[in-house]
Amino acid sequence: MAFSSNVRGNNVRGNNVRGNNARDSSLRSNNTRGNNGLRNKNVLSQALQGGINDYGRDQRSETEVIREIDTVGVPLLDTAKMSMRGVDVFYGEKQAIVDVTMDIGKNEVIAMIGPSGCGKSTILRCLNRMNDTIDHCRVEGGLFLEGQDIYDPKMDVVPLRARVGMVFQKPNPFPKSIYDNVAYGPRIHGLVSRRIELDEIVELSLRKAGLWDEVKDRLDGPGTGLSGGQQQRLCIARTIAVSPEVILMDEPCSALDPIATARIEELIAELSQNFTIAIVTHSMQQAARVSHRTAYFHLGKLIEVNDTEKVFTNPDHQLTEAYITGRIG
Amino acid sequence: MDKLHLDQHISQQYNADLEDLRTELLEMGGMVEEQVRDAITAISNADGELAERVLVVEDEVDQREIALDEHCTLILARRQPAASDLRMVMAVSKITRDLERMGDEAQKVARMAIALVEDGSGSQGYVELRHLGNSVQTMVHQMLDAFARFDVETAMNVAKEDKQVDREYRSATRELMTYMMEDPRSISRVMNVMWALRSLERIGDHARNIAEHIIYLVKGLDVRHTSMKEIEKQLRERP
Amino acid sequence: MIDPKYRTDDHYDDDLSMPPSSPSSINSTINSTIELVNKNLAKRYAAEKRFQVYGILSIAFGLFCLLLLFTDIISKGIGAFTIHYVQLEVTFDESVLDINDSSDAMQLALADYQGVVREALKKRFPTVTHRPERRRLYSLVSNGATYHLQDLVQEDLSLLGQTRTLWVLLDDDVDTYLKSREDRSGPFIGRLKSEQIEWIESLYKEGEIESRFNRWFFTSGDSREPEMAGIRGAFIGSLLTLLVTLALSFPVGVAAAVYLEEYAPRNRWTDLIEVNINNLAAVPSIIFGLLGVAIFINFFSMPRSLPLVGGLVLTLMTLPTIIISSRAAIKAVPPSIREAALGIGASKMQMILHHVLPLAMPGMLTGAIIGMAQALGETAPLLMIGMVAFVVDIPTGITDPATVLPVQIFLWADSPERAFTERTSAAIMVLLAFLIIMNTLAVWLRKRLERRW
Repeated sequence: MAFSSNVRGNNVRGNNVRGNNARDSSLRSNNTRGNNGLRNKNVLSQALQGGINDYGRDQRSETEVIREIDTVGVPLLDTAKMSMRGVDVFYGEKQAIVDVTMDIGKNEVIAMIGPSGCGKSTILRCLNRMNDTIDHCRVEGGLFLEGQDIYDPKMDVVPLRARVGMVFQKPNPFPKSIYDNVAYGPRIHGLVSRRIELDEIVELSLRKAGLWDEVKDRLDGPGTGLSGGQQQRLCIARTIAVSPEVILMDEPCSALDPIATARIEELIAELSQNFTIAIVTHSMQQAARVSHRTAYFHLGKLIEVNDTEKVFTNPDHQLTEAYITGRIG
Repeated sequence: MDKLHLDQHISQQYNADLEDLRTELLEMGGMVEEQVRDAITAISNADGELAERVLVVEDEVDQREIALDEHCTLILARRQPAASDLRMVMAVSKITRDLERMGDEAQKVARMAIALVEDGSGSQGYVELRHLGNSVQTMVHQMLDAFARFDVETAMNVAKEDKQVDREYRSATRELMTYMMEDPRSISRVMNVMWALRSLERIGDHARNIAEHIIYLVKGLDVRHTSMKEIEKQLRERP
Repeated sequence: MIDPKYRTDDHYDDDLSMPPSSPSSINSTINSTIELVNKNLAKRYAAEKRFQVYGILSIAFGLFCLLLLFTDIISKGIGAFTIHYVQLEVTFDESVLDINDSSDAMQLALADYQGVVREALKKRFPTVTHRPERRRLYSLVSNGATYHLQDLVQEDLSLLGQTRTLWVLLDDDVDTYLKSREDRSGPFIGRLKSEQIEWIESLYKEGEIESRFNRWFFTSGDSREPEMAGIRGAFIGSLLTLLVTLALSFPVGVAAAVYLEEYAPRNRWTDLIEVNINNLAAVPSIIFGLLGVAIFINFFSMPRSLPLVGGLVLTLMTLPTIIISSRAAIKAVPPSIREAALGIGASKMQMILHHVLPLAMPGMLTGAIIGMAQALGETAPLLMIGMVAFVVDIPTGITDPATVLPVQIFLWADSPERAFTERTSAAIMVLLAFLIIMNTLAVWLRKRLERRW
């Protein structure tokens, strides 16, 4: 195969998920149970007869057909850092996420891809409850961080967001100095008591983000005075300054030029040694480059989760194939 | 799932590129098939003129190989293909190489035909040649068919056929050995026939390789260096 | 080898549907398109020019009106900054002053300083003996002169019994006459009699009348005598009122805006509140005056004419403006900054205090400045709560009766004395200067807060 061999192969449990784990029993009945894959493929191929976009033979709408599809590939892992079980997300009346069940493994980079409006950003923002800020957003189902229910009413979002950090699409440094940008997180969480410790954290975070050498002489300079790529790395430094366990990245390179993008991708590879990273991206090549596993979403449904090399050479699902080869978008 | 939707990209130019790639490969395949057929006919019928033509065609086949490789590189650079498209480009690139080798082997057969004509000798070994030649011709034809229709079944048949060709080659070799033992004067001539047989067998091997590439292209399964049984098992697992 | 290019060409050759003449027809259409475009070009440019000219004309009209206003105000008001003094030889005669014990403060306060001035005038014009004539002579000098003498004596008791040459304030009629002497249409005589004009002219010729800077205008409160009337009282009153307004409306407005923008759920109630705030901003200011009377004066029984009450009323009036502009400023803070703060684990309050408010502050200040400027120029609601009163004393606190600059202007514009006309214009100039200084200060403050990153 064209891609390197699968290092993580030993961890995956394969398509047949048995309810031998307490958490798994919460799976919806028609969801991700091994042999269903066959039946659902038939459903899809019926729906897709005569062409990828031709749903005409089936009287149901595209959305309805999509809903019946079951996730193929390897959604569940033994070493899950975060897990989603039957997650539905609604914006008012509109359902944005349909019954998503998958795991995010420890220290893995998982890429979420899919056409615009497929819900990949939505599910990402559920993982640290950034959707709370949207008034009419409703999340159902189970989301867990190391077995802890994220949406438990007793769960406090402030420590959750310290554990699950986020990097956004547009570089958004605070209009403060570079130092203050990085120091903000440790300050508000009270991680340090002395200036020297703070200095250390700032330097370490900037070093990890590969920005230290570029900015060490102008830490008091404005964060917004940096170039786009530097700003994004500053945002990453700011995120890792609070030592999160998981870093969520929402299209972190979409506003950057190719060189800056390459830097960030390099950084993601390095960070994956210490952090679990979930990245939403519009660039399939980027997903292929940086991620260990890739999840493909379509109209709010998780269609396929597989090892990246598998997805990009020989995906299990025809919709995934159609998307990554540029037949649907 | 067997159908590769090469014509359904959002980019029309991409569709055209891939379609061109396919057509060019089929054209090259047609040339090589003709070359093989001509070479076999030439050696079977001791037709020196036909053999000369095979040598001439070889140049054009080489040019085709270069052009197709360039085309593949361009698609890789421009489109960064993934999944079936990626497999298509990779497979075409590899198939081209095997086709070119087949052309080379056909050229060797043609050279042997010329040598045999110049020798002006009898017909020992020609039966074997004709026999093996027929098998190889069928393989090449089926192989091109399989590619044109992205048909795994036919590709599997080609792979199976290769076993048959190998067996025929072995028995033909044994038979020619007895000729040589019977009549040491004919050794040089029989050696030529042996070489031609050897080349035909090689053509069969290349056809099998191509069949494997086709299976990879259509199914995404890498079946190189795998036994037939294993291949069939894997294919059954992947509907 | 068949290049794909050739194939494409073949394809076109095969396509017979394309008429052979098509290239030339395309060319001809292109030509005619360009001609049409060129034909219309001149028209388009002319329209563009006209469009610009309209804009320039409107600006010119605005500037012209502004210039007219300023020349009018300045030409009328500039006179108020100078005032005429007369030189008199004043003898501080104890008998005339009716002082026998110089240590008695009561006697010093009640002494007849007017008599001394009259003696001095009599000495200057010994020929004036007739009683009514004398009265007219005396009326040349302002009552302010006596206060001046009183101050001098109380400062230095050794003056008693001595004679000094002093410059004393002239009456407003005399001042007006002197200021209008240069007029082509002849000087303004007003209530002056011919002999009074003679005296003035003789004094003027002798150089015993001089024009000096009018410090009274800036240091004294209101007065019935125009030459002694000043704007200090109104100025301080305005300042105090504005302080009260700012101190109340800014925090309240910002707090309301933050709550409405960041915390309040979107429902029928908040919609209602929003509509009401928007409507309140458009309510005529006199309504707020009525509200002030009803609430602060009638219900809370606060005294009238207080800067405190005025400030409260103006707070009510400026709150909608400040809330609306603060909400706009908060809304303008990029959501990416909020997300960044929340994403790192800041609580909502930390997000607001650390990021939203500092970024929104310049915009909020702009709103506050607009509100304050509006409050500074406001008259109507203050009339309702009695700040239109005649207040001579300069207020020292927010609970002293006071009036404000615009009300003072209104009062003076209403007065019959000719000298008040120039004081009205001068007060307008002071009010405008106050406004400009306040705005400049605010802009400077905003620039300082608005650190450009």
